[in-house]
Amino acid sequence: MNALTFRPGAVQAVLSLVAAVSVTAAIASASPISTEIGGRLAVAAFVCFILTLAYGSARFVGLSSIPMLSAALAASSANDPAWVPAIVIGCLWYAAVELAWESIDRRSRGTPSVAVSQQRLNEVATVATLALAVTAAALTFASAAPQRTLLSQGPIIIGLFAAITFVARNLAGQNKGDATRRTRSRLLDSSTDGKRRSHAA
Amino acid sequence: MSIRATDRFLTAVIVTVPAALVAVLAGRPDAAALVAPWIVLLVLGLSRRSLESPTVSVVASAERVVVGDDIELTTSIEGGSGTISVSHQPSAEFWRRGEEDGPPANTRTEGVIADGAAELTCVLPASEWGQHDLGLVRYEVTHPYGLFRETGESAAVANVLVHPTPTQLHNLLAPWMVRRISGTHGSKELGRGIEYADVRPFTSGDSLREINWRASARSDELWVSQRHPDRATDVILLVDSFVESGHDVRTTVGLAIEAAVGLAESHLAVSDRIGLVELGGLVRWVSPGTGRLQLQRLTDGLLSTGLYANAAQRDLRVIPARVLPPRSFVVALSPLFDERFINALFMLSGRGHDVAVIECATVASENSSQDEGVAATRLLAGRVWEAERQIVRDRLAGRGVAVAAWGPGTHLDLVLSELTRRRQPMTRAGRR
Repeated sequence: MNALTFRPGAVQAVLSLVAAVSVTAAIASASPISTEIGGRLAVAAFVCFILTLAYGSARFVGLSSIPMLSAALAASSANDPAWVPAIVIGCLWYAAVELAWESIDRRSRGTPSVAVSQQRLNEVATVATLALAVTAAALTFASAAPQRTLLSQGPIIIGLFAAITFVARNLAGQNKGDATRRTRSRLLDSSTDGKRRSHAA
Repeated sequence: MSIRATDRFLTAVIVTVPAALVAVLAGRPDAAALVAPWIVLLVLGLSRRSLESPTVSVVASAERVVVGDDIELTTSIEGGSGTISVSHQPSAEFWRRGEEDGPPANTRTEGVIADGAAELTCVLPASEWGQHDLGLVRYEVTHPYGLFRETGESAAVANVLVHPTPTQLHNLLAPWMVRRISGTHGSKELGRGIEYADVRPFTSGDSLREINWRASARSDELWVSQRHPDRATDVILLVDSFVESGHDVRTTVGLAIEAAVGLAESHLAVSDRIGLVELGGLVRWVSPGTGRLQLQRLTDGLLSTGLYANAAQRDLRVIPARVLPPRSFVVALSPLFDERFINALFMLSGRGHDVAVIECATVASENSSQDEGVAATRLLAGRVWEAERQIVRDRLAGRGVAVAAWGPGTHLDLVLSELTRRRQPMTRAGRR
């Protein structure tokens, strides 16, 4: 326990593995019709998750979400999709990935300050809470309109397109902002006084 | 400054887009529920992303510190949001330490940008004397919810002067020649002072306080005491900054500078005039003066001593006469490796200056080789090297220049006592 306590990111890694094991077990114990494919895919995804976590690659830890969530989808019934297990598995897996990233970050950069740790914890908690709330609202909406009518599909499609547009506009705005900032930076650097106080924009 | 998307953003997009398509096209709302946290993360991260880049400024707590003090760097951030991590990277010489010390201290600090502002403080220990460049300040701003990260650099405060630890000296070198200004060094002249010199018959004009009553009581006339007045002198510190390959330049010059600062402080405290001449790749000087301001000038000059390899013939003829006043006491601080510096000492002695040398030499490393042949060779080389050093010392002693060796671990007071002891036979021999 002492070794875990003093090694940076060890606690986060252990918690991440616990969450990942919970997700894998939940998927493996799903409907018997799809267990074979879903369970095996979940175990493979879990192995990828452990290996990438041990290696310390944040990118591949995140990408191991693809097989894991695919396994969760394959394990559930297409005819009778279950919202509650899906959101629980989704939030658990999100927590597992965030904890894994935190562990990798602490291993490479050291233990962050209390304020930064608190900020990160607040962000993860906010995301999980909002996800649960949004899913609960969607479940309520879906129960009121159980048929796959235009009334239920239309808002979802509109919302999806709006989200994609929002992301695309933000990325385009970011690229334009980068070019503007580079020009400003060049102009400012040429006139910066670096004797006693220095600035960067 | 550059902005890039993080692995969190990449994961969120790669997970969300296919799941959303499956949810809509295949009619699987549970797929959307599976990736609901990632969708929320994308929405929150993109909506809270700061479009304004932060402005970073760095201020040091002091421009001058002493070895062992801490330099506090305050980084002020204006604008932006999220968390910020700042790392300071001073020059390599700032961190140079002895072998027994561990790696440099962690210089990375981080905090949260609240209401568009943040202030971070980093403490750097000043462990090495000299003029140091505090280097660049690299910062990394992680936007709220960690989807984007900005990195940038800001030039830190230009330079900081780290003074060597003040050396308390109890002994001062006694010069052979003094000036006609009141000071603390005994002179051979006769006049008003403290040290008793002689008695002579009373003559008109003598003060009644000078009458030596004991001598007068033994004769029929009045006798007055004569004393040696205390005078000040000009002390010129001659620092050797020639670079010689194969020896620990940093340590020998460090010893010279440490000794020079200690001597300057001690002699300025007794009203002597102190000057500085740096003889090496560059010839620089500070004209003699007194007071605290002179100490600061000398310290600045010493701390900015540069080590430049130079094959040109540099001697004292380029130095103005006011920098080397006649009858001044020249204290040379040198490892006595460079022949040009030794010739300069002969030149000064020939001009009539009172010259003394503190040989700042590093201690030869112990013979730790297990190979007998190598160990024997090293031992022989050490003995030959020491014999060559002794020849140089004898040459200087023959010209009336006393030499005392000083290495790490020895207090300068002992060296000054040794130097004073070696100068006494030269005085008795009448060289001065």
